[in-house]
Amino acid sequence: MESKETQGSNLQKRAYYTLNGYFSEHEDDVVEIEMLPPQMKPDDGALILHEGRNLGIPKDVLVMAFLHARQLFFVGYRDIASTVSLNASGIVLLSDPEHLTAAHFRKRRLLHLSDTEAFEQLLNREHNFLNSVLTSPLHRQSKSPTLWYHRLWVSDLLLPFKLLETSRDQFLSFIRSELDAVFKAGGHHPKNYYAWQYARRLFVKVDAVYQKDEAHLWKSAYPAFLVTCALLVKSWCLKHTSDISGWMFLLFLLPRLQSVPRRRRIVGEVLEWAMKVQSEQESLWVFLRYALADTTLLQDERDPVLQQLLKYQKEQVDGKPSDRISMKATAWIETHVSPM
Amino acid sequence: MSLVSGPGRGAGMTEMPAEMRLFADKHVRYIQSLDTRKDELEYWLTEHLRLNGLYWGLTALYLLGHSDALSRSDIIDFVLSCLHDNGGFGAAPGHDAHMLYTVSGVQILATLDAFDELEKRIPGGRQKIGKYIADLQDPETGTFAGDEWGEQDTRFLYGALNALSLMGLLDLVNVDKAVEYIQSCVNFDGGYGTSPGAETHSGQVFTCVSALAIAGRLDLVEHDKLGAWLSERQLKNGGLNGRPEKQEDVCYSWWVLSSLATLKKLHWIDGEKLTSFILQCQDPELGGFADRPGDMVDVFHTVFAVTGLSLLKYPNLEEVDPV
Repeated sequence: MESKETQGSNLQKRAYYTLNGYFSEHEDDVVEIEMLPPQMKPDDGALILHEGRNLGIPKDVLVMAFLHARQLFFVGYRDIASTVSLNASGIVLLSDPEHLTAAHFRKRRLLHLSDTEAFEQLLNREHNFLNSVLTSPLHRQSKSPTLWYHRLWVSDLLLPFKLLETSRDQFLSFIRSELDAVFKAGGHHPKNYYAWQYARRLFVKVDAVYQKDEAHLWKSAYPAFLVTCALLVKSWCLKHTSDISGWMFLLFLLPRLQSVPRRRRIVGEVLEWAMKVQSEQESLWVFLRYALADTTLLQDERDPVLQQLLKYQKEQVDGKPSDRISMKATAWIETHVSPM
Repeated sequence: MSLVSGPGRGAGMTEMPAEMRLFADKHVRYIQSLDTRKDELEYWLTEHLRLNGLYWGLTALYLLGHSDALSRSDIIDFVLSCLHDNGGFGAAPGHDAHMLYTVSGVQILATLDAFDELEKRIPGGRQKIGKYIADLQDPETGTFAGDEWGEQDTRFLYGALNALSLMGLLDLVNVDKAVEYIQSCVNFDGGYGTSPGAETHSGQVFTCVSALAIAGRLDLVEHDKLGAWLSERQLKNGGLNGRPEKQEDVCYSWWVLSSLATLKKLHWIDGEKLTSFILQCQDPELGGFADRPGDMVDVFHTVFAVTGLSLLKYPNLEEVDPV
């Protein structure tokens, strides 16, 4: 007759090994992980639900697995080559994404193996792991500052491999896929500060490489690539109009577009959309007020857009909320326009 | 102070008593009970911030006038068990050292006035901790990393200046360079993010403004513009949010309010409405505060609710320094 403690600990082990088994099978994939609501218990005693790259975990199973993973991790984590601690750290981070010690163990281990032939593959697997956790519909995990920084650290090591170009598009399509991951995480966790912060940091890195003297095939395509990204972000923002982080990222990107008329077209399109739907969205108007108050952004092209806004205001007579918010924005612009 | 959240819930609108009371005794008992829940799963899931949790609980107790509600020697023992040889503190024994936990460690020792005990048990301890923090400054940019892995964030800059000033060791770092870095983080709205060009966020506004206050350079802040942005954080229900269109959260009663207090613009928000909102976030039965009325309480929201009330001069609370 097993004691309650032993039963509990056996359940923890079972949960851990079941989850670990799934992840080991899929270490070269990006998987989509969902937390199952309590009503959705898998049948015939299975602990998890899975089909191909889709995984569903009941919350209590994840916690059980975590409790065992945590023990395993701390027992072995001074052994840098340990795959047991590596696997355990993955489940620790999935349950507790702010677990710095687990994230740092993974960094140390990667560095330890950085001279080996398998290094690029290991980096790609780490990238898959992060993608799985950060872009799955997991509310807490998709915004984790610890995991987003870990991703930046991994990307930093991956970039040199992506720069060894076998094709002209390899490097920029990697950056594009990173932006797509941010869109996804931003969708799962609105106003996702650290996801968009990752995007900013990545683009700053890419910019630094672009500014260096070395010739690369992708450099000629970079200005157009930035425009594409700005248009994608603009579309994303218009589908997520209350997402201040998306709007602020668009504001971050716009000055990086060489063509001022292009910047004006994008800002103008946002304004036209706002006028068309009589938007009351605070975040959208915050974007517009900064875009129009900062004279360095649109420069000579600023005035036509501003006039459009003022004309829209004059035509509003009903005192609706949408008028008030546009009036507030205009007042803010007038007060804070700079530099003069 | 180990368990961080639950099991109680905030009162919510429908259960409000006629007068807006602060259930101080319940909150004290709530905080005292947190360390006794080692068998709950939550205990292990929050291990990564154990030392922070201890700081939050202790601070709340001090503000509530119950500084002796937890065992001083137990706390010091625990804090020192988190100290690494390199002078940094981890979140819990066995966890890697990091600025965030080091700041909490220093703040706890300062609150307990325990630096002498530190020196007794670890000769040269204060200097060691100071050196750990100072070594994390980026000499080129002036900002601070959180640890050897290099993540830079204005939170760590503030933490460094806060901890070093508490220990009287500010001269170990280049404060002017740190100030320059904060200047490079000013956004068009007058606010600050984690790094230059990063989205303005109330948390980062607090860290940057407070860091400038420690450095004696509040003159660099765009007072009116930033004050206006901060005052826009108040919602119809009286609560404060952290960014445009985010929900109200009681912890912003600290991040936003203290920034306003430092800028001498506390009157730019409706204090009464905010007080009323904060009080609705408490669990009148089991104690503790939640992020908003009706949600689960935790020690993080408890401390920042109490600090908010203290800034708003709610009666019978110790005064808190906004920086």
